[in-house]
Amino acid sequence: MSAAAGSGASAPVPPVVPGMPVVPGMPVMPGMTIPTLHLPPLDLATLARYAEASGDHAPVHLDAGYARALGFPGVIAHGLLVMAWLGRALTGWQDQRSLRAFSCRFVAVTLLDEALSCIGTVRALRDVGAERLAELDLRVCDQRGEVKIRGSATLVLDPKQVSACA
Amino acid sequence: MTAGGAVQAAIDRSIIGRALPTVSATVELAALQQFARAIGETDALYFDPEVARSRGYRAVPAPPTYIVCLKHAVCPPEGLLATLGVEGGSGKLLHAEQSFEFQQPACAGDRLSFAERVADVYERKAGLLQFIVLETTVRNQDARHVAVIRHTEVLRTDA
Repeated sequence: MSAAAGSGASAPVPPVVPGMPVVPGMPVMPGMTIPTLHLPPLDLATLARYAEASGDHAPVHLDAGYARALGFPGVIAHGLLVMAWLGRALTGWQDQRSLRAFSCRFVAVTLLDEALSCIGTVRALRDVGAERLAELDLRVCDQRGEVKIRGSATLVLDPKQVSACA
Repeated sequence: MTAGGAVQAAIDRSIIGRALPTVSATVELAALQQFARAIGETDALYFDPEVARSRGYRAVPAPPTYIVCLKHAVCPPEGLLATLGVEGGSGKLLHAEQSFEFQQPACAGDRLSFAERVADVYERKAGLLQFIVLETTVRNQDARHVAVIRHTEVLRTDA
């Protein structure tokens, strides 16, 4: 990985194996994954804390009888809580000031005892003016691989993480 | 499932472009800390003003999705949709999509204004699913642009 930024020469960049993790201080390349955020199995106390903190006290997130009457097997997580976890994966990787866009589609509900993973993959790099933007594909899955959220994000890369080879 | 039982009529597309009353709210440090704890955040940046300043922030920043919670606290989407003639009832309205474009993080102490309008209304599956997109422009006390929030709600007319 001696082809890192700074040489200025046209040193060859090693091929990226899809799923290769990003490494601090090394250039970010398409196909790399950002550090995955793994959550513990969901419990009711977590939903109650989020309801208090977010102000969303909708009973479908807190009252199992109510949720079942709507046809769910039990209470379901707030969609925005799952998105907030995905946000932690982004801001855990890059400073929040670098986050330009963040969007999600809620595709399945999250139930108690499901353990979620927040996964981000670099889809593309794009230069706009002096900035290099990383376009990420995002997803949140449970322990069986069921996708709960699909999304995307755009972040400005730190100059140290920009490859010398555009 | 709802009392009336009648099939919900299509959402009136003439509400596209309608602006809703602008609301304001203050970003409180204690509320940010509570929110950060609730989402399991561990970075001291989201709790400690000194750490925030040492990293070049004006104050403790709000995690990315916090601003939509603050907006919902002063202006819940259900009430808003009802004023637009979109009646959800139990379980008929679902949060389908959420997006943010950020200019800068909101920080503790900021006074934010939320200017909201109906950005779009459309349907899928021959009208079985009706979508409404609410777009909110968020500015801070210096009239600096903070973010644009888009919230898509789906109404199941067969529910």
